[in-house]
Amino acid sequence: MDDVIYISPEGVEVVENSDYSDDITKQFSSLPDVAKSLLMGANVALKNIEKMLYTAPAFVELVRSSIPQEMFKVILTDEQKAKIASGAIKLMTKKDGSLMANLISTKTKKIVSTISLEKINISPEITQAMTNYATQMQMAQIAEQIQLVQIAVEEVRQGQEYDRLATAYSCQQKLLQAEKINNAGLKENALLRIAQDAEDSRNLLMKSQSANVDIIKNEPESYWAKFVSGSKQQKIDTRMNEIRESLCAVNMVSLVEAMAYQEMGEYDAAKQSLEYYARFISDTYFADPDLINRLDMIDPSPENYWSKNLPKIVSRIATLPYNMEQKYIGGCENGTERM
Amino acid sequence: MEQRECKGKNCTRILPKGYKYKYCEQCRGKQVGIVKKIFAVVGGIFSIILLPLIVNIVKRLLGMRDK
Repeated sequence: MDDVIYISPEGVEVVENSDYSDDITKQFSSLPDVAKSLLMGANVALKNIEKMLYTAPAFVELVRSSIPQEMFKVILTDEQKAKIASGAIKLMTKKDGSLMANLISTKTKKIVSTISLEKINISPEITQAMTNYATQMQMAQIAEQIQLVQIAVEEVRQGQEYDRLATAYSCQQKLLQAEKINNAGLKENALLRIAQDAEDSRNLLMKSQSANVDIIKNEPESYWAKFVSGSKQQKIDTRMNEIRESLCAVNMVSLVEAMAYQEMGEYDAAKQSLEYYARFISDTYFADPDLINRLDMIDPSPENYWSKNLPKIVSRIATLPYNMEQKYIGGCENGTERM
Repeated sequence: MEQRECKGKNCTRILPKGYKYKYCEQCRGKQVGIVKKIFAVVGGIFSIILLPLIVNIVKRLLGMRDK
């Protein structure tokens, strides 16, 4: 297509309306990365439609045909183009000025050659381009909806995690307040309720922590597997931070529960609750011998938190007074048998 | 066996003994993320600009272009 219609600035009607925009990206509020290439394709298709609309009137001016679907394109050889440019030949015209498909010599006024015409279909190309544009826009809108649903689901999950953490920290505050209660009966009731709430909260946190640890375990390790099926590093970092925060909360609420039982004088119950915590740490983190090192390597913080702190937690629980067997000289473990 | 440090930029993590990679998993994850982005851009350019050109050329060669 060599003929292009040129529109002078005076012929352009400027529509000033802020609702209209020729930028497709402004139609979408958020798009996943994978859908951005769809938008690029839609932009390119829109530009092609714009160009086709500008060049179509140029063909209509060459022929008298009023058929909107088909146009005739003039095919000139390079030699003919050069001669027309130099003025040696020109298009033959009738008396009324309309063009004919013949070339005449400007000197002899005789027909030199006829012009080849090529029939082209403009409309189908425009229709196809517009169909492609509409399809890409629809796919981009679907991708945007999927992204919004994913964001909503993630917000719900985060909300549930915050609920669990809030319950754990509230148990801590309840214990501090219960210690100030003067009435012995009320204090005992409050401490028992705190111990039970702490156990409920702890189990919820343990469950979500185990789920997050399983997600990390299932992440591929090698470069190729990460490229093909690995999650984004940002998501992994978020999970690791959640695991850390959850472990701190479980640690704290386990202490609250043990202290509540100790305040009531129930040392066996305190021991039982701490043993449950130690078992959870061992089952979740130490069952797989490579997990601790892997958590160190994958954690956003470089301080090797897991290999330093987890063994300390288990060993400190084991060395608590409840867990050490009290042996008396010449007696049995509980010291009840007479010598 | 000497303690090895991760070779990642600004990463001071100590690698455990017998670790088979030169970079820690955090650094490896970041490297893979960069490669994925590059592939996404190249794939987008290919599908939008080069693929229609290639399809056009193939159509011309096979003589399937509409007259």
